[in-house]
Amino acid sequence: MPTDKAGGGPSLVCVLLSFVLGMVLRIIPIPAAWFPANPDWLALLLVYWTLNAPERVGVVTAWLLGLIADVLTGRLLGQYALAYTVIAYLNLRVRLSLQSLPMPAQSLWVLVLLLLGEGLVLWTQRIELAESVRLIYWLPTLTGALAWPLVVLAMRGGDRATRRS
Amino acid sequence: MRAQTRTKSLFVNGSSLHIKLILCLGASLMFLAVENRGALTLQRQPFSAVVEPIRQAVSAPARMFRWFSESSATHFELVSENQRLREEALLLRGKQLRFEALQQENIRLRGLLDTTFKVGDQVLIVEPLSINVVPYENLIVVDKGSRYGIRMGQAVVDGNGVVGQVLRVTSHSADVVMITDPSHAIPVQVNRNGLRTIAMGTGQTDRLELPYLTSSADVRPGDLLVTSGLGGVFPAGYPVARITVTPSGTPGAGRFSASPVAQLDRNRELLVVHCDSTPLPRIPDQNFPSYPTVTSNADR
Repeated sequence: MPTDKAGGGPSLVCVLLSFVLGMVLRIIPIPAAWFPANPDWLALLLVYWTLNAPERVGVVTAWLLGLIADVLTGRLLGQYALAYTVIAYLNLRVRLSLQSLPMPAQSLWVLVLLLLGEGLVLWTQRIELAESVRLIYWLPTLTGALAWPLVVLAMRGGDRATRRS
Repeated sequence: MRAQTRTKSLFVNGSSLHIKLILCLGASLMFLAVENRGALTLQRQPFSAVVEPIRQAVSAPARMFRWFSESSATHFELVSENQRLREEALLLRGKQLRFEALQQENIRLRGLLDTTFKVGDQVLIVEPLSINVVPYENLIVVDKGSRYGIRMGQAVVDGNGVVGQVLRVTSHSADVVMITDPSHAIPVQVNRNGLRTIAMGTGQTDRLELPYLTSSADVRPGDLLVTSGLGGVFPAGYPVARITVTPSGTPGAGRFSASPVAQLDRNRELLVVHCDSTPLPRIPDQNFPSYPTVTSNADR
């Protein structure tokens, strides 16, 4: 774990940059056919940082990030804030046991968290919209769980790079 | 080192975590309650300061590409497009001549009927930012906001018909909800016989539903639906959709559905309509406003 090596935790720059990158990836123009599969990168990053840098990214950071995500994706203010708060809290509670799990098991836990988050967003959605939601709504949680190892690898690399400089 | 992480994690697992959780959950729910009532919209402003640069940055490459492909178009393409546009302009000018005569006549006749008449909308050209918002929600983010006088609830149209209405405004951008959004309904009337009804969005960009028509209603495939002007959001007379499916003979066999005439998935320019709420005088004066007026900054 990166936290064990330097003790001071990852640099603030690295955390902020990763979140900005996550926001860009969230709304990036990709072909319409592919777009429904675009995972919620911000939630994945949130899981990563609450796992590896709980002293920097906690429940309050998650809440603020959620508010930004709400504005970014044109939601009611508070939908993602609520979801991210719950995700961050649950992840902080289990992080010690999660760190020792192998990657596939971690992915499964990420899938549970993402499903819960999307479920909360759907629950706080306007009713007319909630009715029109099809099965494809849950696709990003699946792709998110599959993308989890990628996020871990990329963030570890980025963490090391920012530490060295 | 291990012990140090232990103490750190014990600290975050402590009671302060629960307090933070409860505070954040409470604040989120409070925001949601306020938003659902549509009471406050200003609280978005500080977050949009973070979001705007990101939106612009994401949209920039696509705009650059468009600019590049336009500026590297061949001479032949430009000439043929120019030719086409000139012909179109001539055609529209010809129609405009008749339109103005009809407009004057309409005002005169309404004067005889002793009713007021409302015409003369101003429009503002906006461009959609090329960003994806949410797949199953039909929103477009456009590149102008309250600085240009865009307000909540204004109608948005393109060259063919109604696109939607302004849902939220920040200083540099605005969210437009399309008529096909599942939470959107638009008052329409059948252009052929004036039958009034409401068209609801379905979430698919090529389909609207008309749930309040009885299956025996005099509506045929191909009928044009135009805005009826009821409800005060959309000015009357803009084309909305064409009827595609009518229920077959038996009652309850299905619903009427229509496909929007606006090109919802591929517009480059949109028009935000500033609806003029002051009725015109019945006797037209000399400096009658031409229609439609394109203004660069319609701050009214």
